[in-house]
Amino acid sequence: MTAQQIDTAKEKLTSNKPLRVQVLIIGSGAGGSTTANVLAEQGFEVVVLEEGERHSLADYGQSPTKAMSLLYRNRGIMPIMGSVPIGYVEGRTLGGSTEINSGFWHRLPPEFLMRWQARFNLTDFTQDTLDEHFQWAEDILSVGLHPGPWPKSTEVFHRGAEAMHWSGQEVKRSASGCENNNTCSSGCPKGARQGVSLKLIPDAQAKGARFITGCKAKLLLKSRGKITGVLAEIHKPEGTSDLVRIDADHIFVCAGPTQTPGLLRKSGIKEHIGDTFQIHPMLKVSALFDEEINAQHSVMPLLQVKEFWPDISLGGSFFSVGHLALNLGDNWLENQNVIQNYKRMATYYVAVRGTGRGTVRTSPLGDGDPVLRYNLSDVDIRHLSQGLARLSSLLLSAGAKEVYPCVQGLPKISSELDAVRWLDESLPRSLLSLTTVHAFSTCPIGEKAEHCAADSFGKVHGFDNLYVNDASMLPDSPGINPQGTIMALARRNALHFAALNRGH
Amino acid sequence: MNDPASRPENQTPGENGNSVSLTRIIKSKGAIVVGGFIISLLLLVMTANKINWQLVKDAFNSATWLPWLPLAVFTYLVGMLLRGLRLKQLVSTEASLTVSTASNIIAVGYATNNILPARLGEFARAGMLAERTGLPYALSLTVTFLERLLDGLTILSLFVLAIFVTPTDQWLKPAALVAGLLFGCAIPSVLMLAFAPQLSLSLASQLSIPLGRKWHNRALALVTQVTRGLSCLRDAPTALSVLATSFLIWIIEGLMFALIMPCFNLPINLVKAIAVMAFTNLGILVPSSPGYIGTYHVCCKTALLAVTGSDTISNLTNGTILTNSSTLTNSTALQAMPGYQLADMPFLSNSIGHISDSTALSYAVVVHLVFYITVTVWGVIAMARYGLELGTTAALAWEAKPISDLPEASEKMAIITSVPTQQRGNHSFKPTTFWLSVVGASVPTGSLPLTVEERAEAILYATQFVCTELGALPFTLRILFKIGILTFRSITIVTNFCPFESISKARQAKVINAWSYGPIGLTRKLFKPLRSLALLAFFEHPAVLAALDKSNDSSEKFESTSKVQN
Repeated sequence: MTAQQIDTAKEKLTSNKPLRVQVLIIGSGAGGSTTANVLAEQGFEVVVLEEGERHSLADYGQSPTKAMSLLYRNRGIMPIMGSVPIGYVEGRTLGGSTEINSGFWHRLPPEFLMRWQARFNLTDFTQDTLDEHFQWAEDILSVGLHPGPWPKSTEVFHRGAEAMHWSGQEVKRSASGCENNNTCSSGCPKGARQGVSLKLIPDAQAKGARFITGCKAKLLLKSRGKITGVLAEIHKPEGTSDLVRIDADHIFVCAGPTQTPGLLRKSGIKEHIGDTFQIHPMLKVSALFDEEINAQHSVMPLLQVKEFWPDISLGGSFFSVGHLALNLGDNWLENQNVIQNYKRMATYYVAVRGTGRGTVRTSPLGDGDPVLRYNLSDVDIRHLSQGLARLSSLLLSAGAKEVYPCVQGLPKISSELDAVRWLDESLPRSLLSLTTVHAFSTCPIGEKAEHCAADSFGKVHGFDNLYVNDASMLPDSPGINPQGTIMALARRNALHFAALNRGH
Repeated sequence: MNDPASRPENQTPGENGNSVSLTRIIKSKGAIVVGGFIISLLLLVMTANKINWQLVKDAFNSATWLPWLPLAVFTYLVGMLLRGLRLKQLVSTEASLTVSTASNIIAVGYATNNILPARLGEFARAGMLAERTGLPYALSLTVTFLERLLDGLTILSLFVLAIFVTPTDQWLKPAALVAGLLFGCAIPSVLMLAFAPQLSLSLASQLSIPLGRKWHNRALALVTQVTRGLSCLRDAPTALSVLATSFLIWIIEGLMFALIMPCFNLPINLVKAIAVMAFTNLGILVPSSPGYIGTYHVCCKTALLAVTGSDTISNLTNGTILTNSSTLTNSTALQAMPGYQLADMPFLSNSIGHISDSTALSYAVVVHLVFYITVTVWGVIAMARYGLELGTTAALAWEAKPISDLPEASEKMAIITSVPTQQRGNHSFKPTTFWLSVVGASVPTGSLPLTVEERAEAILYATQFVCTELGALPFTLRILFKIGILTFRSITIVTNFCPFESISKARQAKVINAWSYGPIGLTRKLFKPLRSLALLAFFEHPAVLAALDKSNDSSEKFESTSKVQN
């Protein structure tokens, strides 16, 4: 479908004609675009509402500050509240967070598959059944290893992993033509790192799906145990917003791990919705080397150390001078001069598989924004402390002179002795500066009605025509970059839906 | 709604469709117009029958007009300017409007109400606001609705307060209780609509969905428009200034009522005047003829009698108790009339004696004339100045009609309503001198080879970024953050005897560091996002990046020179 056809679809929506669609999908990220693609292919009439705007590749690759306002939800300001506030970001654009993430790709590890099956009583949830869906997603996103030589930040990380004799491997990415231009977090202007807007969405449009951007779903309309439609707000270029009603036979809510539970709760659907918010808390460190790294001009480190997985993962983070200043900001008075050596620095992280408890609620005030809460558990703190010890040891072994953790008041780590201290001690909770980019499990699927919001295929309990099909459906934290799992499960669920509803 | 094609018969304001528009409006409100005229007529007849016109004539003949009447007119004009100021405050985030233009718009509205029936002035006012500011009609109408709502709430609260601090006839107490009850219900509703638009929408949807699609759509449209109009109240300084101005407007209006009292040898009593003003303005909510003729007089007269005329009150006054209700008494206060000094007056005393019906009516007539003539003359002059004709004003009124009154294309229309888009928190934090100082004190001072201009430019860029980002915080956090910053500013003033932005740069940096890295967790948490955003943006600025490279090059040169020397 061309841009002109999309405009026509939008025009139809904003005209005074009644609009009824067969399948309405809210959100165009990994889950929503997969659902749209599959259902359009199966012959369903599909309309997708996306709150963000459609951007061309020319809009991508801008400075982090500009990208934040263009592509991120709340301009990149989405704090998760709790005893330790955690910075969280997610995309708000056509393609959702897939447009601004690293593109790292994992299949759901078999042990998690089995654990989820057992804990949540998921039906038809086996390695064999999921493999084809992973394969489909990998093909469409051209998932593979980095096409060229590793950038310096990856090399030194690899050197450290080897020196420590730890298992570390390059992670596949949906970035087949990566040109090392360090723009993953602001959208790849070359189209090398593939968000779903590059191929999956145009493919869905070619099959007949209509994507309406700048359209925020405000409320699901219910009547007699059925969802009859959606109230949505469409932003028009001339500076006005239309409140529109769209009637639909079936509705898939794929607005992401925070917005999906937010919309459901705002609409009065609360049973096990937003009660089990899970994240991967992440502690960043900046490392200063003798050699030039020039991380500001290269893709983020491509290796992940899985020696301590699933509880602890070590890896590399996006780097820019501004982000380096932000990371050094926790101890700015002591470390501000270090920024002059930015060419010899890179940023890495410790990510832990969160074991704390989190919730997503809607604020009674304002526009009913989701209020995110996550209480870091003592186990999380231990894992973060141990992870810091491991990562610092690795980086020092790789030749780093100094390691600067994002912990207020914590001095730089310049010897292995300073590092291993944290194997036994716990980092001071209130002084941690944590971030995360992975959130899930706010509407867990499964047949255990006492824990789950939806059945094994995403149909929300208590409703015949309402589904969730995005990161919110993952029943628990997967301990890996979740995009692959989201897309595979979304395809599985969409095909299941198509099989049940074809011909209706 | 804004689409010219949606206008009836595709007419534009000021063209030949004016008369048609006017007719349509009057037709659509036919029952109210006819009812208003009947009520006005009935009240006039009832009043005329009871009044001894000779006494009215006597009251006018013995009245003292100077300096009270010009003072009253002047006070009313000040009140109109304050109304203009409030309108300017209400639309400040959407459009720029001068106080004089805003006052003219209000005068046009009032004048239209005085000339045309069915309170068409409210629509005309919204239409003119849209025409003068370029705001969409829907928003202009909502702003007008908000003004009237604020007026209603202010008058209600002043009425309740006045009635409970001044002795009145017994029947006014229950009226005040009802008003208080209304006020008690209205305030939470307004607060919910202003501060919880999503919750209001959900509630409206739930409550109206059983009524069918048509009424469901109407309820949703109404709530959306009202919440959009009230959105300016979400900004605390705007809300407070609008509220303060509203009270000032109606206290000034009360003062106008008070200044007419001495014309009829009644002592100035602001509290009683406010009670009379409030009752009168609540009373004219009843449909009436243009200019509220009849209704206004009866309400004003009744209220004045109620706050001055009962035995209870008379017993409480210092003056002689009335023996003859048809004449003025020689109460202590009145003995000093007409040449008494304002300074001698107990400003809030209850010392008004019992007055006659005729005096009360005379008073009501004069108050009405002051209001009616002043605002109508102003409004007509404003219309002439802006080249508007009455018909055009009526046409503007049509433009501004709410969606519920427009012909419906279909019961199943997709669009429920259209309102101006509101950018999230875009006006919450403005890059003022304070924020420039905070950001300037959070970033490195002299360690980078930046010129003064480059540094200033980078700080301005970072400040704008910080303010925009903070404005994007979720609503509750934004409020908490503002409270935190207010505390910071207050403490800085107390400890430094001047605002943060006025202290020296070195001291500013010290204060920021103490709050950012001090022992108190709460201050660290408050400054963390601020500091992080400031550093991020500052070090993304091209001039700063270039300076970093320059500084690296020179240190490399220095290192290589050292090596050569070694």
